[in-house]
Amino acid sequence: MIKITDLHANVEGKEILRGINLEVRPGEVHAIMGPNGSGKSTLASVIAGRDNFEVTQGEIEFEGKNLLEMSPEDRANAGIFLSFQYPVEIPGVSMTNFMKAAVNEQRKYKGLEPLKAAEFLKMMREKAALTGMDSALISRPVNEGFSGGEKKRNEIFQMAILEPKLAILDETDSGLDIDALKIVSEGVNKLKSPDNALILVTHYQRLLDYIVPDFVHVLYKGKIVKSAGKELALELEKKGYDWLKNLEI
Amino acid sequence: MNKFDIIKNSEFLNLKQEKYKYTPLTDIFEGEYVPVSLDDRKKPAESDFCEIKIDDAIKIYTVNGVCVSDEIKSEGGFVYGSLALAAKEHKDLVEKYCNRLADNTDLPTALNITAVFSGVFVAVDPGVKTTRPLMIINIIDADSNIFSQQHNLFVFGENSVAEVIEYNIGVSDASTLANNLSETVIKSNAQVDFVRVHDKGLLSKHISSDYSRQYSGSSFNCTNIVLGGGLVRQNTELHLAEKHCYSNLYGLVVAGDKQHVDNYTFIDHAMPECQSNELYKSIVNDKAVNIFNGRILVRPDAQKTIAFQSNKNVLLNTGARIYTKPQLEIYADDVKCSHGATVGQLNEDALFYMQSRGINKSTAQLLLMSGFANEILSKIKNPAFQEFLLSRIEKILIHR
Repeated sequence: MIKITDLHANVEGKEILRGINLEVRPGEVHAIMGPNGSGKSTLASVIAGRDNFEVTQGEIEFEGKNLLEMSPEDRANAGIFLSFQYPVEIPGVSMTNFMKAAVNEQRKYKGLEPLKAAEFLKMMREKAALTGMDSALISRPVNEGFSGGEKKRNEIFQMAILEPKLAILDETDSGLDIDALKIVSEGVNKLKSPDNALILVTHYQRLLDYIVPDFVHVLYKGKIVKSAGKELALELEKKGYDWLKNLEI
Repeated sequence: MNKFDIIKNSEFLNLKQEKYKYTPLTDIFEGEYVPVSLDDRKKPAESDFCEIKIDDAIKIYTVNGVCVSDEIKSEGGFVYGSLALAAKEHKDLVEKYCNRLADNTDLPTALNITAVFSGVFVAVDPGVKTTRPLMIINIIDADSNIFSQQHNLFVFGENSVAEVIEYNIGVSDASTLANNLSETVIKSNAQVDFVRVHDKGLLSKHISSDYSRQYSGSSFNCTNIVLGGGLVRQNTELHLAEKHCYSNLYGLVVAGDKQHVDNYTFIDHAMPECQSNELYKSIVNDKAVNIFNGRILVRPDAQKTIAFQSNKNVLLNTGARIYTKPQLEIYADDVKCSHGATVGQLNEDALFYMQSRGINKSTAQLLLMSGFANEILSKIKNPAFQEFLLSRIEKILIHR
């Protein structure tokens, strides 16, 4: 589904990603772990198309398309979804208008007619119920005054509406208490299918108790230094990241 | 010399005034204009205002500053007509309030006062709750350069409830200068919602000096919106003359091209236990200039005053300019007040957030700007007018 080859990226002249190789196939769940500053969030942002990162080398292929040549909106419409570590508040723009614009742009991309108002509202209600999103929040401005947990749940709610092929969850667990983490994880698990894939970016093993990965990768100084099955996460939990310092990179 | 030339050559124009720092009077009065003759009464053409559709509104028109109506009508709880006629038929009210609220040390105001009463008179009797909005449509329609003056008087009686919309439009290809004055009295416990919109062409200049006085327990929602006009100067003064007045003063400016918009506001907290909220926002593009100069005065007697003032501006490009001066003068010691201003660009994080959901960049920008403007529009009581303004603003922003 997505194939990242020798990806290098800079931010403000500083090289953050230094040769990432990663392939994710439909139905797979990949966890990317690593200490602070290792480049995890940068990788997520580069895939989504944030323009303050400069890709200096390498490629990303998504379903046969050269992702790096696509605008962020085209990437989204092609099926990539980024759940933000810090979801943005947008005063004056209601969740309903925001999602209506997003859904209709996606439909336009697929050559479909805009959704009728009644159908759209019905879908919003269904997806809110599926992800445990408080329906009172839907009429409010995007993320404005939402609690940390509500913001993260809102990300999963949007993911449920847009039904991406590849979802990247950037530190979705951070700032969540155990109950909120459970609810958010349940939402994500309900959306999993053999046709879509997930990349989980996280510090802690905690999230992986709820969303079980097929592969765990350790990112350190802009490179994937170790890849293994889900047992690697448990090992990291026990050993911490100190052992990485002895690695030759 | 005609009247306009006399003004133009007056030395008063050259007096330096802090209040006119960014919009000097000499700039406003620059150019050649011929004063409108009051005999020159025009009827508005139906096509001039067909766009603004508020089905249930009571409408009254002025053309080039002169009220078109030749009778005082009573409809939907409003008593309304030309101020000239009201000076005869409602002599008591006109004598009591006309020229009494206006600050005649302000030059455009003083100039207007010397003219004949030509504008609109609106009164709501005590205890009357009007059921429909009253819409005043001021049209500038001229083939040659004209100077027009209009004087309006609004008297809202005790315990009355009313909603008034003033829409200023132009259908002229000539350069025009309008010097308008409004005096508004809001008696005890009256609730008034007032929206004023400027939507004229680039060749027009418009000075709007609006003085309001509130009495105890009254509530006043005043929204000033500037969408068009080459030069728009608005003086909005609000005098809280008794205890327990509640005022909301909102403003929205959407300016582009070479527009020059200057909002001067003054809220006078003269008495204790009043509350005012002021919020002015602007979206400024191209080579347009927007000025906000907001002054709040809390006098020594005005204890327990609550006064908030905020000015938020978005600059869309490097050619546009914003000058902002929020001022708070407090002479009482038991008050709750704040003021502040921001100038920024569209939030890049919010734009990327929307793009990452598949929304293209220009749609995302439009959503952000409409959202920014909507904070003011949502304060307008009339939903049909709110919707009309939102679509009007979106149209302006799409063609930016």
